[in-house]
Amino acid sequence: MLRENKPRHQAPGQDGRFNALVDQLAQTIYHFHMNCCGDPAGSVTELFNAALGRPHWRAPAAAGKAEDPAQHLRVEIHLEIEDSRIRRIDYLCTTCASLIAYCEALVRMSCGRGVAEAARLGAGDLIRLVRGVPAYRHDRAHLAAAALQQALQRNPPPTQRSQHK
Amino acid sequence: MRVAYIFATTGHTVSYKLGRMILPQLEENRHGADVAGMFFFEDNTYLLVKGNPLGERLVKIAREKNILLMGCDQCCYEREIADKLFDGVLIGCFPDLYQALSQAPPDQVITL
Repeated sequence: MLRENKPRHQAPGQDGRFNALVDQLAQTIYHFHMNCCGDPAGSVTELFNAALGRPHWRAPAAAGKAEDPAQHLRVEIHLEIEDSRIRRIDYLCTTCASLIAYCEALVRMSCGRGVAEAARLGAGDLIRLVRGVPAYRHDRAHLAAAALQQALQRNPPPTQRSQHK
Repeated sequence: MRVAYIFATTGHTVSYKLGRMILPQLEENRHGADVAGMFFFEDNTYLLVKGNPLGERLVKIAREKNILLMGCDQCCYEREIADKLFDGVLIGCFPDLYQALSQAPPDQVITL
């Protein structure tokens, strides 16, 4: 065995670099398997089919939620942040084609990005990237973006957390 | 009696049953029932695309008689026509259809 059962992230020098490489490889395999980092631009059908055809990750609890009770629409964002970057992100939402497409684009846009960068993503970006949605369905983009923003606010980067203390 | 039509099958559904029976009867005020709404699946959604001559007649009569026209959202997205439909024609799925029809619900739903 290469690592001789040494605890990860504890040994400096070569072991640390090795562990970092292992982490990077694991991340690459994870993102390849989840197919969550593709091009966020596309038609509703392309994004909808991609959403149906890939596995989905769930955190123990949703990090952010948004809902429109009048239309029975709901989005949950599942999020894992490490070193101020989005390590894993996925969603659970009502089975509305437009909403699923926007959520899929949202995941593709924010996957692997820095938290501060992801915080700047908004409904306008989604509306621009997802083709062919009539204007009266753009409210789904606002719902998806609101859920992401809530998730990021509940998981601020460590520097912001320390400022709040 | 109030009815709602669901155009679920393709083939001759829209051009024949709607185009040669239902629509002319509505235009001549002799259909025999109030139509609450019409919902279109699959290729029937092409009728709702701007510029379709039969669609133009249908939209005109729908505005006059307050008939809901709605295309299946996934069918429209798949055909990339969701943002090319006549003004006032919606896309949606069953929840949207039921919600839209709930104001003045039909007595019968007829699937063609």
